[in-house]
Amino acid sequence: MSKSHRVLCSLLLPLIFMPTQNALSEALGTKWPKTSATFLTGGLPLDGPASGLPGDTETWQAAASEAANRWNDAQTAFKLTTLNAVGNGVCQSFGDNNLVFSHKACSSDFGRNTLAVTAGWSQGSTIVKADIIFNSNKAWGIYDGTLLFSPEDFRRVATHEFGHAMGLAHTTIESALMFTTASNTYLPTPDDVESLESIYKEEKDSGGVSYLLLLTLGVSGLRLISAHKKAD
Amino acid sequence: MCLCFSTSSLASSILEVDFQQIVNKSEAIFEGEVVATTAEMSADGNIYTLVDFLVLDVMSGDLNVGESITLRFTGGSANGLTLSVGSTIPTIGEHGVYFIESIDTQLLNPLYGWSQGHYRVQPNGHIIAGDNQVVVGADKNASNNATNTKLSSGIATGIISIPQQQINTPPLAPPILLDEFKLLIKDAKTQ
Repeated sequence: MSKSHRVLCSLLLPLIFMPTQNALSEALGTKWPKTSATFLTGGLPLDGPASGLPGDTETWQAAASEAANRWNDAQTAFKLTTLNAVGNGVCQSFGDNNLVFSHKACSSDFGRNTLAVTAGWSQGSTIVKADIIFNSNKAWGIYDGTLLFSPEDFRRVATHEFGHAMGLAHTTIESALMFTTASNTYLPTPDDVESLESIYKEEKDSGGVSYLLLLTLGVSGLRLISAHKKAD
Repeated sequence: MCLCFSTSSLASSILEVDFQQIVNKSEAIFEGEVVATTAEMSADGNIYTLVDFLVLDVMSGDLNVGESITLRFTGGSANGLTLSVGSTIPTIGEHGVYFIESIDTQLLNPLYGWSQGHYRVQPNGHIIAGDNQVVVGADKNASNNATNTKLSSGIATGIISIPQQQINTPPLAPPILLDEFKLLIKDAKTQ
């Protein structure tokens, strides 16, 4: 194939492989044993951004709670709760699920292209803990609507990361919140909600008791296991 | 039809970079083979995977052919637990082309743009990008020219890839081979 032919073909490819509009987010392969998880936001600063945007009147902690509630308001199969308390065990396999700003994540530098990380711990396919760590080396603001290049929108990224923390991967639906490209979308879309349903529907239908827990109870009699989980 | 794909960086928000960036801002670019991996829980409670590479060719940076280098990736499995931050960690026997953001600084993922700097070479010489598709070209002039934030979908802007099932399907371009990929890198490097 000639060089010009190769270039022409390359230009045509994006048109030929345009994603279809009926694909759900892929699950990450791990999920929580229950259909709920609690995150502590006390590791975020008490104040808010100073970006010069209208959202500067809001605090980081309030924005994090709103991000969680955007999923809850979408009536998903999963319930997120945020508490304004300082947790422990950031980047550890034990302790609370935390949201924090930090210039490092899990004792490592973020690198120049990383905005935020969800550090998820799991045992087998069961999420046991998750922390969402925002890169404090980046400029952040809080705003809806058109996405700016800088500052990044904290609440939008937090909502996206909560999606990962619940077990969602990215989707090929461009309008979805879990699409790989951050966009003007700042609320979960039907695709995002359906994706969560596909992961947690069994638990939802069984009143929040997972098959794994049922199996455990069946094997060990009345032994009650409480697990705290999360990851992505 | 579902075109869901499995990529790295699924759990994190990584900015999209372009081909010129990964070529020109990487501290080192090399072709290598993974000869060993070790995952361990450190004293600080994190799990890291140390990946040992045998350097087969050097496209840029202070590396030497035949030497062994170790890169540390945050994440992995140890003591019955798995820590994931969304990285795809190279596995033993993997042959690839790697763009290193920093050799000395301990990063969550040492590769530039995470999976955007990670290319696996198949035995037939085809290159698999971070989106798990076959590379058929690279446009060194493509720029992400971002006026808004773009998160990585696993592949750098300018790298052109197609699903593996579609290779050698006219009018699609055929996969490029390792030597062609290295030439593209060298070409972009000189710009």
